[in-house]
Amino acid sequence: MITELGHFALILAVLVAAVQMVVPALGAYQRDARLMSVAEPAALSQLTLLTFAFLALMHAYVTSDFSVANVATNSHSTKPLLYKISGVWGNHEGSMLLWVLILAIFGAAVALFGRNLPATLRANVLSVQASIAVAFGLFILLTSNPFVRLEPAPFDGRGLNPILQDPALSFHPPFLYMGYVGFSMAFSFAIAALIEGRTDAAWARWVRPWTLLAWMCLTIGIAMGSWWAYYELGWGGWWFWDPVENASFMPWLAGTALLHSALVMEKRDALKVWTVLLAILTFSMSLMGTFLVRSGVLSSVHAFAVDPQRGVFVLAIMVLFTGGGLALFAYRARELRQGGIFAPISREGALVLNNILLTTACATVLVGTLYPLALESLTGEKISVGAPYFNMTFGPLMLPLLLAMPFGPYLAWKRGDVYAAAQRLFVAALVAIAAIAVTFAVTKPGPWLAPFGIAIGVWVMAGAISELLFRAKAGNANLEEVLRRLRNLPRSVFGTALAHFGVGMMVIGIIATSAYQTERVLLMKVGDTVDVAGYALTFNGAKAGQGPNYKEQIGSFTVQRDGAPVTTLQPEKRLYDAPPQPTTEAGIYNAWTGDLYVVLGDEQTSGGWAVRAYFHPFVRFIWLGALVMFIAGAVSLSDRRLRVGAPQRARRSPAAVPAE
Amino acid sequence: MLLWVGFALMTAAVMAALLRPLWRTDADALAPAEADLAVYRDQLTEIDSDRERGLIADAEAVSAKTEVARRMLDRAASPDHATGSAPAPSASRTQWIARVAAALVPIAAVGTYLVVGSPTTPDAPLEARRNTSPENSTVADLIGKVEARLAAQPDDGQGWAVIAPVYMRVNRFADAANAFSRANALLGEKPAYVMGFAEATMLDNDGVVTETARKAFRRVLELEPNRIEAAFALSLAKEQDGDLAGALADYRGMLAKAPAEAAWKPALQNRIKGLDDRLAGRTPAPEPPAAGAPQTAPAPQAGAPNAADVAAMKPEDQARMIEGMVQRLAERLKTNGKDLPGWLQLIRAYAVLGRTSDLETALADARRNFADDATALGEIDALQKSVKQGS
Repeated sequence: MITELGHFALILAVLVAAVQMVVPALGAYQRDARLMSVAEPAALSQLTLLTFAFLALMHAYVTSDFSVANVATNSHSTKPLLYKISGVWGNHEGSMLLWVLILAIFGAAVALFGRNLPATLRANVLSVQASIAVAFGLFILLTSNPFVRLEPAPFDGRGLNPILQDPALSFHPPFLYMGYVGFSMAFSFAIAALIEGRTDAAWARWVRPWTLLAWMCLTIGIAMGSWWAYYELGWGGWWFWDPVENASFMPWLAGTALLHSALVMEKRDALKVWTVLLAILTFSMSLMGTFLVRSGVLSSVHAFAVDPQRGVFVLAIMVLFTGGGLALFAYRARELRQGGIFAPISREGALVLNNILLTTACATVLVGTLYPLALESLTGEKISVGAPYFNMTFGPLMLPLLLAMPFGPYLAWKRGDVYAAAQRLFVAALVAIAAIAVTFAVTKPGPWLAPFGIAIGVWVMAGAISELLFRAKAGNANLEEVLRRLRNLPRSVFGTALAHFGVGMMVIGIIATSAYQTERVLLMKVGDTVDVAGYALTFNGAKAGQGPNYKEQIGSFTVQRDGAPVTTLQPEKRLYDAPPQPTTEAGIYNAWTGDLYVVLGDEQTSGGWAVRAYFHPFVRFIWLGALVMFIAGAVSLSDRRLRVGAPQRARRSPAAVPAE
Repeated sequence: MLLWVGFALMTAAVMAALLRPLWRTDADALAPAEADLAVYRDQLTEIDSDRERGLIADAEAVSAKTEVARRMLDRAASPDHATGSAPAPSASRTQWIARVAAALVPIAAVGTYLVVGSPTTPDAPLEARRNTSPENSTVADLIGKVEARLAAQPDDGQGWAVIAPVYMRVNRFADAANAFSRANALLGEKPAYVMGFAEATMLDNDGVVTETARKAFRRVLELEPNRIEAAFALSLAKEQDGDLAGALADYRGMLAKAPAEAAWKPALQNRIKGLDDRLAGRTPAPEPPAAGAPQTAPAPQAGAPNAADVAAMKPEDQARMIEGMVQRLAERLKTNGKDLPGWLQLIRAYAVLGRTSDLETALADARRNFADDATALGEIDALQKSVKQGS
């Protein structure tokens, strides 16, 4: 009964979304406050109903109710509880339900926290948001219903793809969806603004927190996926330029651009048309990601069951929202008034450069992702656009972006002084040059370009720190005074510096691990010792073991450095019962300077085991950098500037805003 | 019934929440201009506090404030329909909308549910199903129960003996073979178990009598020389090896010894006739390899024709058939890429057929599938070398 109640709740939620789509928009059009106020209970009801539906599905998973087709296809009774829960979104239907649930969470958040928005804007935003919910709700009900029942029920399910049986499944998809879906808020705000024909600095201020939240979640979601691939796929790669990864990376690039252009719009009332366009395009990129993953045009661990009907449906949704949004944009854009003017060398100018580079980068990724697909569908020819293409196109675009990044925050609005900024960055430049020398000295002989790459990362990090110190007037005052000033800096300044610092960390991680990785592929007999980047790795043999739903071979390696024991690594080879599929669990030892990464291969008939050992220097900086960026977003979000002030109702006189 | 009460309560609660605002009399809402102006006021205070902290210079602050002030004036001057304070446009229309929604949503919800829902299907959590009585259980349930017990007590030979024939009946041949061999090991060797194992192995290989199956069939004959099914399977194996004459001789021998009333006699005679025709160069319709097998097990899928059948075909038919097999193999590997022997076979086939572009793709695909497996990569490399030399 719980399952069926959940099914009914899902249907009801779609219908409530339909009401929310129509009634508030009608109210905004006719300036009828009562009709507009339907949006709030509608958004909250949607959230309640979808939460109930989601919990009902989770209940079916936890109790192994194989009369639910989705559970029978994707779960198994012996699966540990954690994966019964996270397995709810480890498949197409369940993950779509999570998708609309997160959509409803964002909608409800606007309803609850958006009370300071103009009534018509809020009604229109929630109405557009509901239209997305209706589209995806119908998609679920018509093509991907997780509540379809089986009679008679099989005794056990077919199990979850073993690669997905990992704690990361609990975090990676939800954060990623919060990112994708979060950008729907920017889209809804953009469409609502176009409907009203008014975009101004105030609008930008309301959009920014939602964009920032989505961006944070997408950043950490992508990083988790990368980390997961790194330790699960068994060869230590962390990014593959796989179309599915690109699908998440494109909205990130566009969203990062949006974040920066919305800043210009808020502060200077400029770049309005561009910002609205970016908001539409960012969400379109999210929709494209959804399309690529769920249409069956790709095959990968992310590609869910192939069903042409679904592909066509998602494509229709994508065309409807992107096309509709752009058409409305084309119709309305001329009416948007241009705002403030600025000189090329200025904070605005720097942010425009950022936007140009990021959107161009996004375009190159788009081409590299879609071109092979288009070619295959037109001519049947299969080509693979791999790392070389992206290194040749994406890399050169990032170079000026990273070099210019520290300058941005130093430039004043309207008209900046690039020489003054350069003087202030003098110390950061010195640190970067020192980094070149040190890297050369430590890694000689090595690739000669890599030290410059490391230096760019150091430059970005040092630039971020120096900005904070400059703002706190370090050097002109005593320590106490500097600390007091640092404490007094607005959190958004900290957020900017921290986010840029994280980018620098990521650059160092990427360059170091790409240029200086050590790889050994070898046959090891028990007792053999091998040297990997200064670590002595001794193979102690492998023994068989039994997990809850898999059999495994556990290898044991003693790691020593300069004769002193460091750790013991236990890489595993697993063979799952259902579905019967092997996976590898790498043994990883992480030190500050990098990861020692050992993978157990097959036992050889000639005796001994195939073993692969890697050393990935500074690889953790990649994900730590992303984590720092995530935290930076949270710090910025906590700045009261983004929590638009004055709680005002039309009747009340607005209270004075206290300084924080 | 309870279910429908639940639906009704859910719908009523949602509709009440949804439509309540429509009956409110004091609709107050934030006028757009008011909300915008609040933001600008906020920005002004921010500029002041930034200047106090020394984040921006005085001159910059003054010009920024001027700019914000200009925005405020613009905004205040731009037309904006008043909301909230204006009289409610039309109460009757609002209530009309409310009524339509109140009627449509429940009807649409129930209608949709009746189409896509399963109101009569009860929840079936696994724990509860384990405890149902056998009479009320399905075959799948019963298998599941036995499996659960065998997972806990893998030494229960009787359990394996019971479940093995059931597996055969539901076409789970690999599981059946495993169960027969375990029963055989745990309960002592019996011809029935060995025979079951042999048949299951053969059926699991689409009717091809593999080396493992042959050994088992031979063992059956040692234990029970008159077991005609085993003898037949071994002859079939000869046939699959291309030894048509040998197979024919075996079949004739069996026929000679067959009791008159044996039900499998006509099948055997058919088989002999087919072989005769093929040996004589006439082109018979190739039969599935085990079609005449005197056994009750389901006929295997005609997926793997034996070598002899292929040899006896016309060249163009042969070519088509081989192409088909390669095609099927390629498709299978597309869905299950972790099959090294399959890949090696496919690569060899492409090399023999001279399909070089496919050969390259297959090599690349195989490498990708075994990117993390050094030995497999080694085998692929070796094969590539040998086929490149051959061509």
